[in-house]
Amino acid sequence: MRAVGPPPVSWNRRGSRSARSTFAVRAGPPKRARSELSRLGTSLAIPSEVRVAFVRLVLAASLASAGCSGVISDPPGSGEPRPTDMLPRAGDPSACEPAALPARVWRLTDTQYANAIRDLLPVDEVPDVRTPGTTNHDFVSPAELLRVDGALAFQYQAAAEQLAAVAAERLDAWLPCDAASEGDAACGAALIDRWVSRAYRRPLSADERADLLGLFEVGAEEGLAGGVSLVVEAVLQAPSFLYRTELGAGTEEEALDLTSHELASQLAFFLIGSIPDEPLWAAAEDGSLLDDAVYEAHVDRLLATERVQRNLDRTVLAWLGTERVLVADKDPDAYPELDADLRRSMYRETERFLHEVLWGDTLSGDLRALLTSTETWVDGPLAAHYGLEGISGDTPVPVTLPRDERAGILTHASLLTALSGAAETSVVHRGLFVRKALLCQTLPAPPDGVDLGDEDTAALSEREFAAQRADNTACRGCHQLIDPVGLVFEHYDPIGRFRLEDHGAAVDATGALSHTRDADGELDGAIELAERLAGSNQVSQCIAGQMLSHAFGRPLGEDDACALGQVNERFEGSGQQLREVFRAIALLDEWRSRSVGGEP
Amino acid sequence: MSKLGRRRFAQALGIGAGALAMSPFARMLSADTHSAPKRLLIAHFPSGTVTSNWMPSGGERDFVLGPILRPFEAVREHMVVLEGLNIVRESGTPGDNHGSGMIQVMSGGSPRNADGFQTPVAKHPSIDQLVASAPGYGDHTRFASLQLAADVRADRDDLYHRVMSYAGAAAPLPPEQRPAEAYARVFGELMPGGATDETRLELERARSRRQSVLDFLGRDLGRLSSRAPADQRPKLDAHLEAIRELERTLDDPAVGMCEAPDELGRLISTVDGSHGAIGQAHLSIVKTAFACDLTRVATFMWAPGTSHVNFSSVLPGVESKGHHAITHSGGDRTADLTAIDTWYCERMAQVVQELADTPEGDGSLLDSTLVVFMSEMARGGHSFTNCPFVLFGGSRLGLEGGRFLEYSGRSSNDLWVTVANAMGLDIDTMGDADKCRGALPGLFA
Repeated sequence: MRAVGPPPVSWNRRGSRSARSTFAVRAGPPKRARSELSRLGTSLAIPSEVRVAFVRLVLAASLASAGCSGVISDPPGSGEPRPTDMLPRAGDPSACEPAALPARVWRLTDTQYANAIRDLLPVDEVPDVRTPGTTNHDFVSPAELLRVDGALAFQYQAAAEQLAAVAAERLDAWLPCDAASEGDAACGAALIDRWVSRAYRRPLSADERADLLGLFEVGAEEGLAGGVSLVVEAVLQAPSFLYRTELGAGTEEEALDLTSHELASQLAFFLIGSIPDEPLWAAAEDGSLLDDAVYEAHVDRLLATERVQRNLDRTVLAWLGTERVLVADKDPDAYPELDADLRRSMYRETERFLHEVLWGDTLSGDLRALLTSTETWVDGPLAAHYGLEGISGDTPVPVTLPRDERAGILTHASLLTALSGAAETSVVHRGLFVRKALLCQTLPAPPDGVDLGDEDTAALSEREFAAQRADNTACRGCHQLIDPVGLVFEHYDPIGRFRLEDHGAAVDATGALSHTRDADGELDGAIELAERLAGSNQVSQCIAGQMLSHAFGRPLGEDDACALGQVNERFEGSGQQLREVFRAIALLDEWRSRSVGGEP
Repeated sequence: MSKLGRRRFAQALGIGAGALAMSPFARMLSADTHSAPKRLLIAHFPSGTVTSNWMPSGGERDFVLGPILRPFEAVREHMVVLEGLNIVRESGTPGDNHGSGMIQVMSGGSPRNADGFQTPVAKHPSIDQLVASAPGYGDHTRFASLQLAADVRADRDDLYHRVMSYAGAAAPLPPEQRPAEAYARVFGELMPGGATDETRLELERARSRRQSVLDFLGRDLGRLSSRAPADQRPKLDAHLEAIRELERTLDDPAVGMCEAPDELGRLISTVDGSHGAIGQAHLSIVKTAFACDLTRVATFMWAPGTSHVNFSSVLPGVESKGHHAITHSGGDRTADLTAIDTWYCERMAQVVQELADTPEGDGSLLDSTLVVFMSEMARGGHSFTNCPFVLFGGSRLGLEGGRFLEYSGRSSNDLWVTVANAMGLDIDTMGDADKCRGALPGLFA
């Protein structure tokens, strides 16, 4: 029995929000810009997409400029907007007491649903069940907020009927029995005891078993296939399949240990993205998984499998939002070379690089490698994009990039392209990315009533535009937190090419980081930023926290301070080996028990 | 079900139950108008409007429509334009202006962050769900309500940008964007005609199989719910409601005789992906679902407030950028925004006309249908005073058309209270009570 108590660290995570007033922002660009614009706009006919990019920036600026009003009238230092920490401050693992997670029932994500079905049935394609309102790249699933409504229940029903029909035509390929020798009834029982149990990730109660047998018999009036297909049709839309249960067992008053099956299910969905594999299931069935040594051995076994590594690669890719490079809006006139193939090449570079950092032997596998390595893997199209000669074909090959141009994940074309506008870079998107993804900071919501007036600033460079925001009293407060970070990426154009000139002038990539715990200071270029971040505890804790949040399926709160401290301790203890984050999460004590929820 | 498509399956149900006399159309044709059900459609267009080009000039009955609303001239007798209504926003509430404006206008309450999530949600049910859950609406139809959208791209991924309807506190009902999916769900079971003798027995058996599965799902959910902590049960209760909705497919074979869907199905299968065609497909689904009495309440969103819809290909001359981008673009954007909003009005006018052309009893479907056309803010510069609201139809609810009414300083909450009263709900406040002053006088008879 693990003791459960209040977290030792009292921490106002969200902070209080000061009142804001409606604000009409009157941008006042220099006259020079205005005349330049009219000249450019009439004689050069700026492609509309360029202006789209500009507006995107303006929007991003307005989105990020909340809490900025009132800055001027407040006494210095009291009213300035500050980033809000997304994470609780990690507790001291030697002193804090872990708090058990609340018992819960949560629905599979659409991806987990599809993966589970592929593991349960020999089907090539799983119908595209899509929870309305979700996106493909949700890092922390909003599934908890989205209840199953009629529209989604209909999708589950249609998919289950389709899959049951396919499965009934291939009984030999998957049925856990031999009907010819054992008879239909025995086969039905085997289906329920073994296959349904796998689908539910737990043993069946006597009541459930009888219910399912009754269903099988109804279907079996039309033969074995009829019985089997009816059970499959029912199970694939059964709440017991669609929801993960993490309730714990026992009679303790404070916290309950998860059962071996719940433990296996939780570990499997985290590491595999699907139901438990055979060895894990066997350890759940015989209860041996409750033994710490056996559990740890399974964690290590799973982390060594290709499937788990690929799944965790996808987790990290989702954290970085890498998938956006495949769909990011770009001006085809300005960037005709950015076709679907090049986008895929960019994605694959990041995918391969992450895989090598996390699991390979080539790189050191730590946070520093992620952020500063000049080693990467590029195929022919991307090599050309990066200005490397002598590489062709679709297979990525290892290369070393020039250290004065690129280092680490932040300089990958995938991220730089995703974090740009259609025709311009985006200081704002790039700056916000660093704040949110790497420093785990959010900025206040935007103010009401942003009216940019009649001025058009499309002819400005990103740096000039940022300077304008810095001059604007309503924008300055928040943008001084965003823009100096985003500006250090100005050596990379909207599709991630290295450049020395922009808008006819030498690129100035100076900037600064502020409001961090241990990474503040002036900067020149993204590589300096990457070095700075690689040495920051705030960044390493942030990555641990992001992955923990993903595993828990929700943002972290004050109760998670101790868990975060424990994950962080293992992470640091391993020399910041990134793979250790996943291992540390899997081995967390509090992840293996649940507080007693409301009366069942 | 392997050999029997869903459509053929249901085809048999209509005949198998011998339900011809129960056809809703038959019921409508024989009934007098006063027994027709009341319906509500709330249709949203993004990013506010150009107020000066939206609001009519002139008096209550002799008003002259401005350029944006001019497409409604043909249906002006069914139309009531409202001026002066505000969406009451509190400063410091979470979310961006568009997304939280939507939460505010639909639920009548300030957004709040969902427990455990850093995303804003409504803390009250939205007006459509208040109506759908009232006696005489969701409890009478196969679908308690429908939520549809023509486009769901928004500046940010957060859920609340794409949601109009909330079943209750922190219970978003995101819309279906794919017309084919929406069609399959609403009409996939329906076929005109019926089964042949040779398939009827087989189909009857298929029906009873599906009933067996649904019964099982209900029992499974009950077992799960009994093991779950109390705070986890609301989502399981919602799931049970969804299963009951599927059950109504089997319980109400009469709708199998509704004749409209087949042609509509062909239409929707040819939707070419353009904004107008997708929106009109969804609105046709709503219209037919109303006519067949499959639902009585629907919300429809053309696009989220931070719309990415680019109109340059359908409206030559409009700048080639997303609608929301145009609202924030420098220079004079009045012409572009007027053109876009006018385009939306043209589509809506067509829907209103189609409802008016669909007979029901001794009147039309529009007589019993209240259509509210609105946005999540007043103007794209993020203001919330004097927001665009137009009502159509609803003569059987006591709405007299052909009017232009001013309610300066009153809130969208007050409008919803008035609408709810007309739909038969006995309420004098909705959403945050401090944003209500009661029903708007003189709107409904």
